[in-house]
Amino acid sequence: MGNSSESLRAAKILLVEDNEMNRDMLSRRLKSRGYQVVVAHDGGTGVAMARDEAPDLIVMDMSLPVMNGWEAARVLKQSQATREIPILALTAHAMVMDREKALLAGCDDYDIKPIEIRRLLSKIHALLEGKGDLERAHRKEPNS
Amino acid sequence: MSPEELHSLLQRQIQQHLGSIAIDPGTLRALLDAVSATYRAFDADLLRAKERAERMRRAVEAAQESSRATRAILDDIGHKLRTPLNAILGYCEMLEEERAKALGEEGLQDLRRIHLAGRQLLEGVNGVLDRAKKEAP
Repeated sequence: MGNSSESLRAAKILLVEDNEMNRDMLSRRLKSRGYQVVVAHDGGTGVAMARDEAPDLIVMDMSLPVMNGWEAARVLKQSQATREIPILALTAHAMVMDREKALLAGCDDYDIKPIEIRRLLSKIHALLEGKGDLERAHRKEPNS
Repeated sequence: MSPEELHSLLQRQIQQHLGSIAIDPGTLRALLDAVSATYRAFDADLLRAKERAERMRRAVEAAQESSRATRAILDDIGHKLRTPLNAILGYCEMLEEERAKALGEEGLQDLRRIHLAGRQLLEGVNGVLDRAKKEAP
């Protein structure tokens, strides 16, 4: 089995963000840390891409056009194909209700915008590690 | 039972009770008038109280609606200000992390000033909006 931090760094992240600059900025910063990044501009496309791209993690803004992030999270967590993918919700500063709504909609964790990259990365890392544990548990590999 | 029905029922009952007693018709008339007047005054008071309660209910509803609208506007302002600020701060950090050599010492110092001003602006925006929300009706 490969080095766990190596496999984490190659993880594929689906970034769902409607603001062009924030999408570019965040996707480049994630790529520069070794993640593979695919992007969607709205909730509807985000749901479709989660199905097609099978990412290891979804980082999703909650205020999105077409289908908002809460609704998209609900759809993703209801679908057999995507329910295991951890979702990290991005919500606006000081909107406590938005965070609670995000967790209720099925998101696994949240972070607030404007993002603080170190804090965001540690949350991403924790979710990817958690997912790794979950997958190993499901596969029941004898040598893991 | 309407006030009119109640009134005539009361009138009939008083007349029944007093029927066997010799009473001056003028006194009976006066007694019925007094009871009638009391009922009318009571009805009018009740109507006014109901109208007052209705006016207060509408005022409370209007205030709640206005408070909701104010909060929604503040949330929208916050979102519109923080979204570009998020980009400004993020790109500053990206340049600091990835382009430090190319920028040189002077360029890096200018970039840090932009970054600092952006953070101050963000703190200002957060402070003003938090205060406005606390003081919103």
